[in-house]
Amino acid sequence: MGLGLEASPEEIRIFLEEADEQILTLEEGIMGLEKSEGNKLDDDLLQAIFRAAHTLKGSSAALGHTGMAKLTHEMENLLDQLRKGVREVTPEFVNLLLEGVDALRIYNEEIANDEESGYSPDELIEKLRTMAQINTPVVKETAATTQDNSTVLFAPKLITLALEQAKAKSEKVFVIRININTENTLPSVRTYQILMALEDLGTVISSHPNMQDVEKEIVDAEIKALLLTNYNLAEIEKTIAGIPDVKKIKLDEIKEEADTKKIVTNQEEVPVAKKEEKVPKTNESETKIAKEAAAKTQSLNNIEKKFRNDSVTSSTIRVDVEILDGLMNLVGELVIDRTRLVSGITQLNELEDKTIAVENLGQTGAHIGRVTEQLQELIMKARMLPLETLFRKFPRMVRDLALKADKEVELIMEGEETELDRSVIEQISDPIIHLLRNAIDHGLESKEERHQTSKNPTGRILLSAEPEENYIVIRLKDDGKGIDPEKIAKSAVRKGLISTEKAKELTVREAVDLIFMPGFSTADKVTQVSGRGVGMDIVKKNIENLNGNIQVFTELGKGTEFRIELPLTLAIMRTLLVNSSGGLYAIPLGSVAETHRIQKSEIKYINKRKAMTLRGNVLPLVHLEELLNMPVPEIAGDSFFVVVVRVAQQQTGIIVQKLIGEEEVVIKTLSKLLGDIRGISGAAILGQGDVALIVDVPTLTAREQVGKHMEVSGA
Amino acid sequence: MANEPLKNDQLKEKQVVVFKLGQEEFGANIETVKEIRKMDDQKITPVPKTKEFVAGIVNLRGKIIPVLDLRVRFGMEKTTSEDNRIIVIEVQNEVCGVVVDAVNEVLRIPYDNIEPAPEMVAGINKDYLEGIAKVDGRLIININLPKIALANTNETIAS
Repeated sequence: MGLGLEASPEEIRIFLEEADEQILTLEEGIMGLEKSEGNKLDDDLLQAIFRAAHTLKGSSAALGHTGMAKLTHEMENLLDQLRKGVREVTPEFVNLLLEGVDALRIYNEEIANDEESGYSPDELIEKLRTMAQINTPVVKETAATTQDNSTVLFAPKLITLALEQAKAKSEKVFVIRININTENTLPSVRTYQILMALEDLGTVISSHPNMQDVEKEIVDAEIKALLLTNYNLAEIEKTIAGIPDVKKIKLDEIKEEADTKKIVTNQEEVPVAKKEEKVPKTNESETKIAKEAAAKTQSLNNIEKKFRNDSVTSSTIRVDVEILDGLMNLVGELVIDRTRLVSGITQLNELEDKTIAVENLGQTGAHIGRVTEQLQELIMKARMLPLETLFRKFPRMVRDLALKADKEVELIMEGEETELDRSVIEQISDPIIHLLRNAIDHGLESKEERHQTSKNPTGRILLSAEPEENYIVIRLKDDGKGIDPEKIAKSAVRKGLISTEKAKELTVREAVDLIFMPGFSTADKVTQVSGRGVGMDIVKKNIENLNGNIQVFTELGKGTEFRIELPLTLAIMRTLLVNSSGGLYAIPLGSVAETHRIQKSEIKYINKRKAMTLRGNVLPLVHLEELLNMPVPEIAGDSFFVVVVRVAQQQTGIIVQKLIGEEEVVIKTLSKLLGDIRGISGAAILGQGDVALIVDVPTLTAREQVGKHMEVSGA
Repeated sequence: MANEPLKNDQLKEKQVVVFKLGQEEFGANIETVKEIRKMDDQKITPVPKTKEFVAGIVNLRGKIIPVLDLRVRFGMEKTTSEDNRIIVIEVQNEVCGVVVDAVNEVLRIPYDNIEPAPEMVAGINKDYLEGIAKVDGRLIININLPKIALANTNETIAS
């Protein structure tokens, strides 16, 4: 059933995007509070959480989702108590709020699908209310100053800090409240301008909203700031009054802590002078304007810097993925045309009587080539997202999983800023989650076990990402017990995956790699955390579907590391073009190890299967047609071509009719009207307009291997 | 037909692209047809591991679209001739080509001349038919091309 919300699809879309962000902020904030348990609370953090809850309450109410509004209201109440200092962070408090976050996610889903989830918040709301009624010991020092909420502009400790600093630098402390006109301008821009102007005057100890808020478009009609400066009241006022849209300015100098109380009762308001009166005439106002201009440029620089460093926040433009895909397609066309142009020019250049026109054309061709390349690069970049968008949901997950497994786990994440194509990020999520689960459930030992082996009782999981050549490498490393190759081999024999004889021949590496075999799972009992019927083989398959690969390194007693290599993008790929049975096929270069021209006489037969020796090793051979269920042609002539492909340490030689060469192709997915074609991952349009099919090597050769394994275990 | 369309002035007649398969004449609602292309303009790339009636894929102005062979889909023998055409249709936001023997003309057929389809005509199940039109003594079997293109690859359209 629909929710019957009174909002347009566009409004709902915007709400959802923002809500996602707010819920994450809440979650991260609450976990941040959990970490600071017992210590002094981080004021900015607290403000950020509170504001996220508040914003959610407002926007969900505006959307007409009463359940979400009610829930956030109760959460906000509880958070407010914390802010006022009448509550302390306890595990119960954290758990309850996190439960709230989960409920908000359910609601968000509900709104996204426009379908009632059937979730009832009553129990949770009751719990939140009950907790809010229980008085926790009041923190003494803050209680005194926080009786009347409206008087509290800044935490007392901030005031104290400001006063100390002011004394040291012989500067003055001001509490500044500025009301701006939020109706017809960009309030965030004005707020930014004001904050920049204040920073020019001195040191802004704290402000609500602060710079981070402004970047997230969180603004208020009133800007409060605590300023440390050696300018006097009039000078500050003048500077601020020069900024457009400023309605009211309240300035209070603070000389001692008690002064903060007086501010509320002692509100002289300074009306802003009319614009006409501020026409710059004097030198002083000219300097002011120069200053303002400098502040503007500086703020632009800052925004740019912020954009480069932190593209997740809202200093970015939202672009529909469809538009990006469309642009990508167009660039793909350009890439194709560039290839055609270059080959045309090459042909012209070969003419004996080439003219200046040909040369000019050549230059134009080269230029278009460069431009296309840059365009392609930029659009690929536009499709990139930092891995942070994925990584930031892991701390909560690891926390919960660790609690369930009764283990102490520390998750360290590195390289979250590494960027990947959004489609790759979407598809890598599940494999990483699976690996994290495995690490917590199987990789890390119990507290007691770690204690006995004199390891740090807290297990460490390192999740890192970094670019390496044309790949992004994601590593997931734990300091747990490692994988025992013997145990793995035995388990594989027991499950009938390999024969006992074969098991004896395995190298350590091969034995460990057995974890990737379909049907293998070391968990003897199905646990809540791991054994969900998804095995490492699926993880491996998902990664290979992305043209990536996964390897495992392990040391008994020391830990295990999974290394995932992922291509930067899925849209454009370097391939080896081959010809077989009259058709063109593109084999991704990532899986091609080498190519050979082989004499017919070099073919050997093992168990009726073709093979050859390559540097002393047996290389199984298979016709490309065989892999594609097509009739296998006779090999014409005395020699033929072999493309050696490698998938997870396993090499296979694919026999093709002709090698055409390397080509960068734009991957076009095949219509679903064709049905599920396993082994063909898409098609590409080549320079001459011909269509080549892109071969999915892992899928095709995996089938081959299953066949082999059956042979071995059947023997 | 159970749900006969409103017969207001504009809807008195139906425009139909008439094409041939074997001896039969078929009609496709012109609203479902995007364009008609000659076969020899289009090099069809066969795709392995697809059903027999999938002729392959073609590059249509930079887009790769699937092409189905309607003769094979209807269980007829595969033939090729110069008259072969690809009728390009749109199916649920996807573009798809359908190979037919020849495209003859576009006809305006009054709804009054279209009779409900029987259970089975020329071996095609009623679900894919939109009635039989009688025009000057000719019988034109109106079929729903998008529905045929969408039909699960395992479904048999012919009996």
